[in-house]
Amino acid sequence: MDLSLLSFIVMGVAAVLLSAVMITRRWPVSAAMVLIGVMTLLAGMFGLLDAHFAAAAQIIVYAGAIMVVFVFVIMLLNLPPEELRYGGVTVGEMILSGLGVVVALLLGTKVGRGFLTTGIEQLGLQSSESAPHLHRSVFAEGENVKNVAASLFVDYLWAFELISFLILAAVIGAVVISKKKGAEHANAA
Amino acid sequence: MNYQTMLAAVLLIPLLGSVLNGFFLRSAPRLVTVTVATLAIAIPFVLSCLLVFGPVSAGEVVRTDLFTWISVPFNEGRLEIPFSLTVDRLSGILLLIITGVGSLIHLYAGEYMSHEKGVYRFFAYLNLFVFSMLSLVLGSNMVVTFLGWEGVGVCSYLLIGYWYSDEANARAGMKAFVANRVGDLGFLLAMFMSVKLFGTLDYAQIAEALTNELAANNGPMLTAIGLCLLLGVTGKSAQLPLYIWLPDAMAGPTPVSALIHAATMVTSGIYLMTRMSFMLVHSPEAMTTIAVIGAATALFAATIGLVQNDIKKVLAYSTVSQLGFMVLGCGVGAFQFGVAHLMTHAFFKALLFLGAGSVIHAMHHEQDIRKMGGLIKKMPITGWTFVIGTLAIIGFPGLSGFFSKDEILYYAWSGTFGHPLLWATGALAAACTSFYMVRLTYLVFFGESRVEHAHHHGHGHDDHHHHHEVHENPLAMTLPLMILAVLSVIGGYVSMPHAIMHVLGIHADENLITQWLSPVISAAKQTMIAAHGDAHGSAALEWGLMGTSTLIMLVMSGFAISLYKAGPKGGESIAQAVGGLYRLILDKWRIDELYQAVIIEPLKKAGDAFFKVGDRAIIEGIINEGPRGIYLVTSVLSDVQSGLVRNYLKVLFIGIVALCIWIFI
Amino acid sequence: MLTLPELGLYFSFLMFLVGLAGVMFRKNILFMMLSVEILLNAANLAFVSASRLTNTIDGQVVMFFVMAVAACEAAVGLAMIISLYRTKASIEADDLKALRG
Repeated sequence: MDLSLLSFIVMGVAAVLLSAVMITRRWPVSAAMVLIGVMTLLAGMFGLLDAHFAAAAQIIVYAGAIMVVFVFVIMLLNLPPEELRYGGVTVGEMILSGLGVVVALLLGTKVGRGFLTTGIEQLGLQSSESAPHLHRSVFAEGENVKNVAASLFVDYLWAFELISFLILAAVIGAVVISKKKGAEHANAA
Repeated sequence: MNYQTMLAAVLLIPLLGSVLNGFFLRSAPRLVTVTVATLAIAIPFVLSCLLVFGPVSAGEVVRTDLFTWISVPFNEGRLEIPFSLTVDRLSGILLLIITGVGSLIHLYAGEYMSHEKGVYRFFAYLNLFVFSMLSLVLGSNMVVTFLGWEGVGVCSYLLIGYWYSDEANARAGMKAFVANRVGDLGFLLAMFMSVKLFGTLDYAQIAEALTNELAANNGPMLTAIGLCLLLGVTGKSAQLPLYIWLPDAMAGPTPVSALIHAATMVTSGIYLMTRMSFMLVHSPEAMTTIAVIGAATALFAATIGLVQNDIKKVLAYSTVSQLGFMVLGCGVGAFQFGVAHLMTHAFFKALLFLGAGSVIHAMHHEQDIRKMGGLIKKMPITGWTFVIGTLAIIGFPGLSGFFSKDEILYYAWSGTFGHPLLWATGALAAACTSFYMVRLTYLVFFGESRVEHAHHHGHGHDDHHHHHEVHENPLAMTLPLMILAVLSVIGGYVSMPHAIMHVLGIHADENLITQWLSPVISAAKQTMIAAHGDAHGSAALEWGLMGTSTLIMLVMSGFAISLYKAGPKGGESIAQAVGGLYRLILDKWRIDELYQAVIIEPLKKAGDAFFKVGDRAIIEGIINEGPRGIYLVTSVLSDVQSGLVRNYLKVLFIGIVALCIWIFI
Repeated sequence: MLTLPELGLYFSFLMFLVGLAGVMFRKNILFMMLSVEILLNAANLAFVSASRLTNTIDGQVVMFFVMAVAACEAAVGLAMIISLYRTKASIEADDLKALRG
């Protein structure tokens, strides 16, 4: 077992466990902190998958920018403790959890694995093992950012431009929604 | 233009006029509307004259097949019903009456309706009526006739209810329509049985198919057809028991009463019976029934006419009574004189109605004869023509009614299916006719004037803001009166009795109308002679009956004048003497109430029961309980739609699990 | 023996389940949104793993788009939380029933 595989498994298990820890936190701030940890672990996994640009973006955009907004809002709301109770877990929710475990086990079996690989074959794609010559061309050392950029600004140019409209709309929406009622009257006065 | 094209044009030009007025000239000036409508009848009149006095009088039958209307499999063959028109001598007479009297009445109506708004509707209906009436008389087969039969019913309904904003008028229209529907059922049944028996509905083909042998084997069937036709006739020609609609039909404008409810539509029953005469005479039962119903109607309606005070109501009951005479004439086998009386009646009754309309128009819609009187000085033309009409209808010797009515009464006694009792009933009816017509004329035109100026009636459709003195109407209204008056005088000479012809030294076997109609009724006549022998009349009997009815007429007229010399209260002493009977007649024998109690109320009760069981319980039950069930189901489903986002997510998750299980297993 | 990308897909699936549990079971909208971030991250891991598995770059590009959408979602969602807390004085998901049918 080589080192990269071992570290990938450790990071993956840690990410899943930390996720579970996060959703059981009572205080939002600690949950946000745990989530930042999860994201950092994911960034490491991206790195091991030779997706260096994704790893960097994960740290900078997600853990850096988005989570800062979360923490900022959590601080802004400053929720009182009575707003933060867990509430009980009902019988139905327990059954649902059980179903989730069943599905997880199903995926872990050979049936699930067979589906995974045949699914990929059905999609007409080749796995990296069967096409080792492609390995270098896309995931060559230091070529990752260049490749992502080439795909993003050539094949996905229109989608990329449209994303800018989405972000613009989100900015305007956020301003409008969170604006205090009667703010314009206050300004007028 | 050949005669076939002319025949089609005669039928279609009124339709064209109706369409023009109804759809394209709605906002045209009144003069344009009236001109189009009148020309749409006058042009066919000219064409009809060319047709009737051309080929038809020469003995030809002009027939034109417009298109195949109905073609259905029937008895291993096909039943072909073409939309074809035929003009022979019978339909020729009707054609001239409809278009001739029709044009005069259109001309008159243009002036009569001059205070109305939206008069295009009136003339569109009137032209449509003429179209329907023409297809009734011109149809070569019973189906085309039935089309016209229904068409005139619809137009009658539309025109009676012309002032539909008044509920009574709308109800009168509906009553006429419903009563006619009952009669139409009879006509329909007669058609069904004719198809069954003869395999055709064409008049000429039926006449050919009806051999003596066939008639001998199918006696009951022929009687049934005859009685069903009679039911149709009682509906359309306002005979007992379906006459009730005609008096109410006077709610329509007076020109409509003159054209539809006196001169043309109501006589279509007589036309139909004459057309089918070759078949009717095979069934003595049917003929006798027809005669009895005609005589009974003549007397019955005449008694009601005695006490009416509305000028149009008197004329309406008079019309029912005169139609009874015509039906009586047909029933005793004297079809030609039924048609002759149809023609003279069309002249003098149209004249009387138009005269009444002239009075009503001048009196600003006052119709009560107790509020008239002495009008002859103010309206000389209307007055004197009305007097001529009255003399004609009561059978004053020398005028048209005298000849046609006396011929009918003579045959009621001596005809093949005649009986002295039928004559007696008819003579009694004629006596009543003399009384009420003279009473009407005297109260309206002679004696002291009882015209009031203080108030004014109206249907809410006239806008006279100031009252003029009653005065004569313009030429457009008086000209038709004068023409009809002339016709009322001379129209009867076509059916001059044998006895008089003999005295005058006219050496002919038959009078004019009998000669003219002989192609149509000869088959019937031969059948009657073969079955019952020749008619058992004689010149002495004819003179005797003629003298008797003239005497009755003179006595009753004199009686009426002496009674009403002092004004409308003259009859009160007699009314008080007979008390209950007077009130019964005044209430029109309470026939309407009888129908109300015997037919309408049970129908209403049945309808109510159906409403409660069928509508309330079943249909509304389904409609109400069905949604309630749906509501129960949906209320469960809408509980799923809880509004809680987390629940939605849970359901979504269950879906994902199900999908995974489906894929993996 | 599983390869790295395949393992990544399994981990992404498990993370997704955990995140889904968070969204479903936590009543606090703030936690629900944090759980949604886990869901999006799990999706990202799946995209990158699939990209590696199939030797194509598109998965990483899509991950970039998902990140942009996540940023928008966070901005609008947090604005809505602030607005809600202002008007209803509560951020309990079960207190919001305006969608009830």
